[in-house]
Amino acid sequence: MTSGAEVLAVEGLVQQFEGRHGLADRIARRPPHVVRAVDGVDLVLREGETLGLVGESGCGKSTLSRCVVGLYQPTAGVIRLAGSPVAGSPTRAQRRFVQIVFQDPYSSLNPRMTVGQTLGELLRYHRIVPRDQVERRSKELLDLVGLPHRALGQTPRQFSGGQRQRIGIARALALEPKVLIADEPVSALDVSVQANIINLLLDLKQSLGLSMIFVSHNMAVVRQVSDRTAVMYLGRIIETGPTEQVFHAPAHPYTRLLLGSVPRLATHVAARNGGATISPIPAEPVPVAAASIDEATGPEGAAGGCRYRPRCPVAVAACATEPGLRLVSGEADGRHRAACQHVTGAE
Amino acid sequence: MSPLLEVEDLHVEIPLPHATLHAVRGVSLTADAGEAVGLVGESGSGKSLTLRALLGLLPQPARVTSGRIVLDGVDVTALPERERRRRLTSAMGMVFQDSLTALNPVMRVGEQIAETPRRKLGMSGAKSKARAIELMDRVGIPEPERRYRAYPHELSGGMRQRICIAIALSGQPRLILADEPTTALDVTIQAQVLSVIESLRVEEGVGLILVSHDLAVVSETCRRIYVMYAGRVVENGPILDVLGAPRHPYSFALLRSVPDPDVPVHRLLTIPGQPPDLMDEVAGCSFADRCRFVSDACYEQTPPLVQLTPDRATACLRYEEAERWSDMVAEAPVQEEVR
Amino acid sequence: MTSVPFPGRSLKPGTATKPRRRARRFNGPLIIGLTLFGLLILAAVFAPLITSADPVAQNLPQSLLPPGSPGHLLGTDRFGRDVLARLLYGARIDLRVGVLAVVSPLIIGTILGLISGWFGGWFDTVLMRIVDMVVAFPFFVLVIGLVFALGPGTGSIYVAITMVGWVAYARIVRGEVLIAKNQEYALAARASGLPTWRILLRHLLPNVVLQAVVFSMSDIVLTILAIVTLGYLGLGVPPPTPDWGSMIQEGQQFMLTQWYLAALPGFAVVITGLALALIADGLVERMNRR
Repeated sequence: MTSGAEVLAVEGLVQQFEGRHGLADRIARRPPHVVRAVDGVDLVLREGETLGLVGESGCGKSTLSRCVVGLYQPTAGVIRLAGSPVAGSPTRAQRRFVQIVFQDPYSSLNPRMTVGQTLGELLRYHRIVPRDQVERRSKELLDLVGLPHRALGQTPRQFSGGQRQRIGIARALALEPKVLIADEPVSALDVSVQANIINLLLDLKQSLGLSMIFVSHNMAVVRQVSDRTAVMYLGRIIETGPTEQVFHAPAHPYTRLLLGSVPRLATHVAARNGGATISPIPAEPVPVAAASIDEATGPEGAAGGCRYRPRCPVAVAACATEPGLRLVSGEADGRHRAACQHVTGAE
Repeated sequence: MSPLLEVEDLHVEIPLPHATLHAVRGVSLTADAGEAVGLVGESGSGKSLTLRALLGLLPQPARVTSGRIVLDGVDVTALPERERRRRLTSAMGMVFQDSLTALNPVMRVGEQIAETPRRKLGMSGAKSKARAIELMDRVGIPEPERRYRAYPHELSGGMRQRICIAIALSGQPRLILADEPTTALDVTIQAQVLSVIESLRVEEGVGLILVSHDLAVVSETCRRIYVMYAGRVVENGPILDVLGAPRHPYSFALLRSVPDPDVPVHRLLTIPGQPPDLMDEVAGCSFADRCRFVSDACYEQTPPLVQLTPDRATACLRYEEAERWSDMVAEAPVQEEVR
Repeated sequence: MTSVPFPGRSLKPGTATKPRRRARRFNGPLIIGLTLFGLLILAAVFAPLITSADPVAQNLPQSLLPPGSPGHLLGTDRFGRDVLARLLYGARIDLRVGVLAVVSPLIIGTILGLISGWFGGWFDTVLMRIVDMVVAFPFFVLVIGLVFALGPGTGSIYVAITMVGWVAYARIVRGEVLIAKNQEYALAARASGLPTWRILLRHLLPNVVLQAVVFSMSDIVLTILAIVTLGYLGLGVPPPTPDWGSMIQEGQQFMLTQWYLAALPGFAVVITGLALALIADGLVERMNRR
């Protein structure tokens, strides 16, 4: 297990958004509609490790990553970069410290700027290299992500999705960050291109000594890239621990549901069953799921208690009080913890 | 007995201002009632266009330029337009990827389901409503009487996709065509929607053609698979045979690029390069440029679809060497590094 | 901060595949529109070379000559002034006022819309209230009122049209900014710590301004029509300076006998409108192609 120095930490982070609060609402003294996208999250990222952040849409994983790179002002809580807290908006050095790779390779690049302009602007503004070295450095960055030098003079629309994502990675690396946040970096790409980008990120992490937060809804991808995994549900982390433990022995019922729902290749399954012949299709039809376990209902549905309670197949009366993260196994950074009443370890 | 649906040598072209994009290049496939068939390929492989061509739902200005569609032994391509439409739409229903745009936003969902029974099957208003509620119950929508009056935006993504399935079922089709039906859904919801489709197939014998880029989804749902690349079927056969022992380098590579949620870190195999430009005629095998096992012959002739067994075919000239592919990749791990 | 060691070239050679090939398409509308508009401007600039006739010199014995008369290709008006000369010199006034009267609303509206859309808050609220108020008035009533207050003349026309015209641009640009600022490229620019003014000018402006420029094309035509209307009300360009508006107004008395007196300047307005509409179409096509 990695146990390097802490490079990034989040404590008690809350990010809430207010809905439209017009003049009429204010006159009628209606309170604004508040959504807590992230609701009290603690995280630690150690040097050289990859933390996988998984969850379904609306769980707050993207909001959390945008908070960390300073795109939102957190409502409450502390973000520490290399031990020093971010006060208000991040300083220039703090901006450089954490960089982000976005999901959509089509909207994440300015369509009116060439690749060279995009990279050059950052290199110049942050004075990463002397002005006369900007072009040489830009070419180095392209080498890093495996693009030809002539890309410097081309605009994003001349590239495919996978190539654009490489440009996005080069842009993030231009600032020589210590921490890279990859926010669903492959979910807009074709499967074969996904593998390219995943391998590239892993290579870069190794060779540049980066630490990474890998945000994804795809459990299989997270399994492949992360050392530790944190599962989010409705703004909270409900299970966290070494990837092996979380995937092998999930302790929270929601993590179990997520893992059970992931479609699997028949051959992968067969390989694990010792090559025994298997039927890809269950003989009996799976019962059509009832509404109670359909979809996340929002925190209002479970006021005060465990947020997963309305969907949970093993909910008990005790779930009316929300459990904190409890110890499942391990110690220090190898701790595997889950926020469920059925876990008996200490909080 | 002939299968329910047979497609032979289907070609779809998209005329563009200065070129013609030959998007589907001679696809043949069959599907039967009660059978789940998967059509797998990456974006641009022509899988969606193939599916849409079956129902005459090609986006403008794409058009079918040649090929036959045989339904119940009758060649519908030879029939007049109206008759062809009637036959095709009564035999098949379609489910789209984006349930929000597939539904009429200003019409109650129940009425959208009841529309076909009332118009096409000539049911009375009350009867078609009862039928709609029955269908909603069938696809696992709780409290169907209450949800009948809901508008699409009031329902969650999973519920909306169930409504779309109910609409596809409302004409009592024998085959459902599903175009990436779960791609926009969360993984837990995806599992539920797939199980709805699966139970329809098992219990009511409704056939399924599932188009997806996700091999794992197809693997869990379908019994037979067609792998498409650059407008052609490059390999087809029973799912376990194709996944277990691929006979085309593209399916081989695609399989190994899929991450496994149950196995700790392993290096994924990547496919270098990009698919060919479908505006050009491709000389030789369209996968040759990206193939690890390419030979000179691959550039010279377009590989024919060779029937290996009665239900298995591949369009690779070197399929006989397929058993050695795994070793060849293992021997040359450096190659992986090159994108 | 310590620098991260970058191994540079050693890690990966440039092995990328060729970028996607794209056929360069011929942008017909843009080329035709620009050519047409260019010809109009050339005709206006080189008016003295095209005709030697004086557009304001009266010659009453030669009044109301039909087109094709010797020395007067398009005939003369009721004061015996050469119609061709008046059309060409009129283009100087109308095109200049039309274009200039659109430039300042375009610039002011774009800047305000950019700030309003990006920062939001009280500035946005106040600005949008002002926009609503201006929009609530009929365009012509407001322009006529302003010109009346400022006194006739091209200067007043510039000021009046700017005061009314910026709102359309502010609205368009604000709407575009609201979309663009949540695009990931704008977020990426913010995440990389670039200063706000730089993000606004370098990243947002080029992506939002084209919509406004497209609108300005049709706005030029509207402005020329506004000048025509003002001329009709005696608030436009003071006579005897030729402009298309006053020509149409004078010509309409002879609608039944010398119809071409009103039709020819009308035709000039239509051609200008067509050229600008083609340019706008071409710009839209370019925008969609990116």
